[in-house]
Amino acid sequence: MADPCSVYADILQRVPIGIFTVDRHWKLSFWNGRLSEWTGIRAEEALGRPLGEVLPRFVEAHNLSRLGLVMDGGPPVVFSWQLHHDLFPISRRRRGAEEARYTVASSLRDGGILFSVEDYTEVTLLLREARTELGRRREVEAALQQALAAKETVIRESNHRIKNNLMMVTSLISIESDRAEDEVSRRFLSDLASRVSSIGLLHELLYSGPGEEDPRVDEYLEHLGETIVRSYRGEDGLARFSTDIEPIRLSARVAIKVGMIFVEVVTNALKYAGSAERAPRIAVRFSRRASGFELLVEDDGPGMPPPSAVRRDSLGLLLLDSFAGELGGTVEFLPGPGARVRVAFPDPASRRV
Amino acid sequence: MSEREFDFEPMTEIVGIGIGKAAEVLNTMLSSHVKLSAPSLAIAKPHELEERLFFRGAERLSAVQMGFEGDFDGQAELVFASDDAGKLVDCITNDLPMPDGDLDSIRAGTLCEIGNIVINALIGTIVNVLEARLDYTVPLYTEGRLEDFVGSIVKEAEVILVVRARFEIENFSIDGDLLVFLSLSTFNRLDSAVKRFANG
Repeated sequence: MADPCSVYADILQRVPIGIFTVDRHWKLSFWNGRLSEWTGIRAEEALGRPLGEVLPRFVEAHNLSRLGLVMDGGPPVVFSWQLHHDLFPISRRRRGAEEARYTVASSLRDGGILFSVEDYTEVTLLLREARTELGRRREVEAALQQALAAKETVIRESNHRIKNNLMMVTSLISIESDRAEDEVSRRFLSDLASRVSSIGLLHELLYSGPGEEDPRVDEYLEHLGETIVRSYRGEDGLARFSTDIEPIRLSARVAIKVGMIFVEVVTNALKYAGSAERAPRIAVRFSRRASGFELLVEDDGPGMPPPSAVRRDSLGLLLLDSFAGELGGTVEFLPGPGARVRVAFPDPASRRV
Repeated sequence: MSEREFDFEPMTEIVGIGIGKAAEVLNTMLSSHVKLSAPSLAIAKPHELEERLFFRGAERLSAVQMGFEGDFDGQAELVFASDDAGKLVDCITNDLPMPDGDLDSIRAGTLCEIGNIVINALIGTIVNVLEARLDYTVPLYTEGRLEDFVGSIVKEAEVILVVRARFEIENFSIDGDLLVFLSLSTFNRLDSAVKRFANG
């Protein structure tokens, strides 16, 4: 059976902390392998020699007075690295850091002192590296946030300017419309003003929104409908205009085409469904369908002429077909009563609000 | 024994001696001058502890603990609000504050040594007065909430000495609480011995 003392000594030789002991006469009586590795002092060079010869800092007056109490059976004494960084003679530098150790001196039951030395270098280095990395990431994140905010400001500002310019163009066209001498020219210019205004309105929604890129189609079409009705029927709004539009976000690219289609169909209803004496009823529905989206505009007017009489080469219908085609959709004139126009197009990757 | 029945004067004298020794050790070690004092002393039953503490309300605490057993058993702890503990280490080491204010292992080691000096001086003085013989645990640094530090010991202790420890370094003043958890019999022995000591 192995001698317990030699077993324990063997264990202490191999543990991952530095261990040494001094006897009652302050002579080194144990010196383990880890300590040899750290200090470069081999056990045979240290054992039997006075502590002060091998590790002189330990016997400086302020340290010796504390160790004296431990030698007399007093409580353990801590030597931290910050307050005693030069206790050990060799201080290698590891990855640019001075080796950091923490030493506790405890009284041995049979006299003498046990010193246990922990190495904090790796922990310290890891903490330092983690802090550096954290600081770097925070800087990058702040720079990205700043760039994002700047980009949003530029986009908003640009949308604002586009909207203002388009409103100016709309005003100029409206002035020309008022000055037109014949009804055909007046109608032509008024329709053009509505078309330009629909684009301006989208830019207004884009710059006045909370910074999200995609506009809500319900807000856009409702606003657009009010503007067209006001333009055609005056401020008193002599039209019964109702909407049932799902709150869906579409990209600005798609929304502007839906807006142009909407302008053509609603303008047409306002032109033909009412008269100076009779306010037309116009109902708009925009909804999601299994195959994509559907815009349905109905009025209570006399209805569409028979297909053979419809002029497919009129500017309004050409634009309607053209924008619907760009969305990959179709335009249908449904049977009455009244005029009923349905435009369907596939989902261009939209998301619900 | 209630606080009303307790004669604080002899115990205050003993605590003053211990705190004085701690200040002496700190000042021989450090380049900056540390003034250490104990502006208040209280005794508390476990359920009264929280309301007696300086750092009550602090979210995170830093403590140095050391247990002892032998002629009597107990535990001593020096507890700070973690922010104050960090400031104390910075003041003592003239170090720059760490970016996130946490105590890393190195600074925790420094606080452990400061706590070790203060606790040893007070417990050493008490042991001398009682002429007792004790074994000690290795000082331990911990961070957390009050219940993390005193959760188990407070159930066993019957009386807690609560000493306000004030560190004054240059323009800074940082307070912590030095707690000594004792059984009632140990406390009574200590009280008698302290009175004998005070009466010469």
